[in-house]
Amino acid sequence: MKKTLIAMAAIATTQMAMAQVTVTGELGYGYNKIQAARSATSTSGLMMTDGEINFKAVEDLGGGFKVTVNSAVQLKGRDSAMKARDATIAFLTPIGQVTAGTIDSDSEYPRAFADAKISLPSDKQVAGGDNVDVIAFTTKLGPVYTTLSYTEGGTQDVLDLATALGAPMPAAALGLPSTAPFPSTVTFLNGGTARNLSPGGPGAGGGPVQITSLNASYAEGPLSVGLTVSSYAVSASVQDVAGAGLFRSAYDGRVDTSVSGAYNFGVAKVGVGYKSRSKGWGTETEAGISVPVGAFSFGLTFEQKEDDTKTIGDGVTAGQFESGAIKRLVGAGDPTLYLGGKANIGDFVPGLIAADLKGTAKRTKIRVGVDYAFSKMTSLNFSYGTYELGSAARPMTALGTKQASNMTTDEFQLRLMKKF
Amino acid sequence: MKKTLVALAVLATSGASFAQVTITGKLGYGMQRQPVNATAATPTANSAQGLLMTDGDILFRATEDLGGGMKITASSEIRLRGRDDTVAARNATLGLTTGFGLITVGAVEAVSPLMTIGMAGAPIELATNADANAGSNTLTAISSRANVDIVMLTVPVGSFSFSGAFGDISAGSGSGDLNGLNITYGQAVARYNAGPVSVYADYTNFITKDASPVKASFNGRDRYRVAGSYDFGMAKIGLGYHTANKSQPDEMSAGLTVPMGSVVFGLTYAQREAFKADATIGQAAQKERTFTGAGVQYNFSKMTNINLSYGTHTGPANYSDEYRVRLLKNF
Repeated sequence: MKKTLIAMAAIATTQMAMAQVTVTGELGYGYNKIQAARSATSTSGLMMTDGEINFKAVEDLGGGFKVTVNSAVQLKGRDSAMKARDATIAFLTPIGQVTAGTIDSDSEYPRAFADAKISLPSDKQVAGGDNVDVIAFTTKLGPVYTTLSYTEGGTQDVLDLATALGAPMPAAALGLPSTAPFPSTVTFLNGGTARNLSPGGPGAGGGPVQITSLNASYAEGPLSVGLTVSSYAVSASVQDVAGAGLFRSAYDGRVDTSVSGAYNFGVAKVGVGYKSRSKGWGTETEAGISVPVGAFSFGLTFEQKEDDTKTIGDGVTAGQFESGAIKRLVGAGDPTLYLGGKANIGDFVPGLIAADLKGTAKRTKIRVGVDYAFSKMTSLNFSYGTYELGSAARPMTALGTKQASNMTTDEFQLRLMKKF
Repeated sequence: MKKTLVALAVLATSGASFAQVTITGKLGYGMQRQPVNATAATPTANSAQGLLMTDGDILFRATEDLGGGMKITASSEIRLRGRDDTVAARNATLGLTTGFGLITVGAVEAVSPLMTIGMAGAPIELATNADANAGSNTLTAISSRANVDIVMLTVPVGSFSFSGAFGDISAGSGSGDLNGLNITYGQAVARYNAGPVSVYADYTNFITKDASPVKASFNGRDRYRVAGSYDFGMAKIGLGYHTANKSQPDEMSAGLTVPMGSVVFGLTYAQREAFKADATIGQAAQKERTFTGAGVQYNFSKMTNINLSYGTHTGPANYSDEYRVRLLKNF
């Protein structure tokens, strides 16, 4: 976003300090077809694809100190929910900058995708960011920007936790009667208290997963490269929960290493990226090219994530199953055999079945796009994407089944975008 | 909050009218531990821990000179605290300045003088403080803060000002146990501000027509609040007291603020008497509750500060200590 309205800055203090507030934003409208099959809840068709207003204020505190705040709100017209977007406070000191906020932890993919101007409804379904609380310190060591960050929680982490442990669900969804002796809502923690199933996340604070990351990036002339190493930990409160072993085994101690680079040849810019993840999570690969031709820009990207087969349940031992440390509720349609035993609907049985121990299947996505820039602030974009999906998506451990994938078709979007 | 953005001046009509819009706001980020522990009954009570956006508001204000000594100001505020936090409307008011006083109408949060003047503006910033609506329940909801629809006339007379108000605490007002009771009230307020002295006193009479177990508690309740502060220069002290009939417990607050250059120290205390069980108004007995808070704040400027606060509670079951460290930028 570019600055468009620099309104006047009132003198906020009796001294020389001056706070300048900038209001920027974007509004995009288009026609698209999402990758999911058309349904009653389909979001295909005409729609406001983008809409954000951002407020930014800067204050020079003197002595090399400066504070900058940003806060954005999503505003996409009628029938679209208003949502708070990224909000940050950046505190610049003579030795570096501390940045704290609640943001989308987007990755280095724009670099790996060579900044290709492609816009589709499901840009992040193969891999992407998450909403997190973060505090980071960035300093420049020679030509290299180095950032150490601490991140808490994330919406997807919370969903993972709920999936792994079994969030409260309507009994009807399990094929169970909602009358006594069955409760109308069922939890899956040994039939007991569902504690910490909503452990916060951005905005609310807390979060079940903490990530410590070290990033180094270099960008001079046509070359841009970045390296990030991230270490995961699961909060103690989650570990107190009976049955948390599944979730903890997937995240606690996981290490991600990602590297990306881009080179601008002038006639074209190319980028590549690679991320490895321990604890059985699949690796990710990205590549992209963008070709500017006058006011046009053509882009092509490729991204792939390998199978997470061992993700959920990796590290869970048969002993945990047999001791009853991890239990699950038998729902309608479940197989009736569990580790050699037989159970009925409504019973709590040890552990999970093998079918539960799967993460996300292999995914591949190819996207192309063409962008026409009326100006630096206004553009018309047409993008197309196609998926190749392995088998099923994220598992529903409580049900012993997997969510049916809806990523079975391609997608496209035509969009007019105005930034201001 | 101070004005920081005098945005454009739009010619709203074809005439010469000139509307000036101001955008102000604040954003605060920190790490905290809030005091309410999780239980089987409230399994997510302790979820608001760790890093979080503690504050975030954007305020739009427009003023129009109507001529003849009359002026109208519209203010509307929106809560904006980053991802995964709910966007919500905050205070919205219209203020009409006339030759005899200021008429204010709007939907606002009415904050108790026990939490402002009575605590001497001590720099203590916590998840709950003594605030019932934030969960500590040391002060009752009607005492600490409540969302209200209000019509108020304020007349200044020298260092004094006098206000008469009619308020409506209606369903969904966010006022905790008052939700759905359709309470209205009339209020008389007197203020005195001169030099180091600030004094506030009000009388409020509540009425509700709803048939509920709590009706008898509110219908005809008379409440008196008084609070004052004195600034000695090297320190500022504040005291506040609240009393009401209908078997309501008395409440009090005290505060101390000590500025030392850019550093400000604060200490606060709030106490609510034990609730006596009163079957006639459906009131259950509760223990006495207290809150003690301490804080230190470093002001980088008048608009930017970092604050460390600590608080402890007695009385409520399942409560522990709380703390928060927060960087705040006003703009």
